[in-house]
Amino acid sequence: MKPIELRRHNEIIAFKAEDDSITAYHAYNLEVAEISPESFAQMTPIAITDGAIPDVKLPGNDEEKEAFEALSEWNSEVNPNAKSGKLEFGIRTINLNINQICNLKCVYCAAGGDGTYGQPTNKINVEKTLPQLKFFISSLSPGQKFRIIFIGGEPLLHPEAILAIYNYAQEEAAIHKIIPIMSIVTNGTLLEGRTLEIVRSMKIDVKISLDGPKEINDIVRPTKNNTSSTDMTLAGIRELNRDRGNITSFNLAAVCSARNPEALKTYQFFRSLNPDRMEFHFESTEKSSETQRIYLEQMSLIAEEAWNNGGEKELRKILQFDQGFQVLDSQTRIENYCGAGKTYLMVDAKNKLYTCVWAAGDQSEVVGENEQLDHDKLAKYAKPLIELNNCQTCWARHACGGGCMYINKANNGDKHKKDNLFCERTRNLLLVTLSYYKKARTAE
Amino acid sequence: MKKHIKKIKPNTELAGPGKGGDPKEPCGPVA
Repeated sequence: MKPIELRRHNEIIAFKAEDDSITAYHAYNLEVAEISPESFAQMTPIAITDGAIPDVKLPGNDEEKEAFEALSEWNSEVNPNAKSGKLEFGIRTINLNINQICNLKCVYCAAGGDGTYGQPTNKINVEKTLPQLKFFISSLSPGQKFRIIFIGGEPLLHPEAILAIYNYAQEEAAIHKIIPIMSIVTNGTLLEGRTLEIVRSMKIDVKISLDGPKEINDIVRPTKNNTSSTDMTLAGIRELNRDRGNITSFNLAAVCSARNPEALKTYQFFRSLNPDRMEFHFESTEKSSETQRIYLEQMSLIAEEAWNNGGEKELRKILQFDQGFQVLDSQTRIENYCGAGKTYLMVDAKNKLYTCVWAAGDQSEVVGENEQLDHDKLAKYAKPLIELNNCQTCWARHACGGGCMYINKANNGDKHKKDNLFCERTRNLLLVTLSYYKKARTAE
Repeated sequence: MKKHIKKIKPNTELAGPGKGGDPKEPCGPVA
């Protein structure tokens, strides 16, 4: 289902699908609707690249006036069920760099190119990390969730450190009546023996990075000695699938790029590995609009195949589509693309704190260390990202949350200068999601 | 008068994390 002919009337956008059905979306009210061809005709054509509100097209005859009035009325309505997604300060998610070394050397590695962030660190100091966790957990109120994402480097190079931190966090969370949620992001090459035993023993979401079948994955995700890594990862996945133990989910994440454009093939390959969820990310620093066009085309094909495989359930196994469903069903206006500096911090392998997972090692981005937070620096992150990044007129803003500061800075040199490809990508994926959302909720 | 807008009801019971992993942070919309 490929959305075509995009139009806008103030807060409302609408588009035609190939079958001529018209889907509309109220950007502030988070409402999806089917609208008449007459109302669609009263809207102003816009480009997918355009985030500004276009001039209103004034109606001519009575029929046009009626269709126009219906739009205007919906536009000015307030949906009482749509809530604000404003974030109050309170750290409830952290990434923890268990180390800053890796056994792979992926071509697109955002962690300094080799997993070290420019500062190779063998293993995080567990004794220094536990009081840091205590500090974060004890700052929360009973009933709140606290999430730890173990990352690196390759975190499973130090499984005992993960287990020690995991056990401590579980105990501390129980004392403070906090709900712990743990996940690990790994290349999956070390899932054997004692390491696998440790992983299976934990209630943890396991996300394995894999970019497709061997012929693709070996090119983009070789070992640091430039040999194949795929067989090791697949052996790890096989072992994990044989017995998942206590793990709460097994997920696969791919990076799509000019070197790896065939996301549909990757999706088909992923399904053969039976993951609970899948992610297909566009390489964050890719600047080619042609590569993005291919990515979006592939994502549209993936959505179609997923829908045919099992409707909403299969489609929502894919992060890029599930996110939109979550926003529309929860009726929560997203104001932040991520919790950077508000609800989220990154802890590097030296226990320094940053607002973004990819900022580790950049001294200008340090916002604290151990149990100390630099509140002056964090104050710069207090406003909603849709405001900081000037997204107030974009129709996708409350599903997107203002975009990624890392991508903005990497591509434009400024955290708050929007990346056009990112915006176009986000809007396109949202249109695809909206068409399936309408299909799913109309069928109920 | 013709009905020009037919709103679709969200399924609020399906909202919220908890189906397997919750991928929302660090990268992705958060509320």
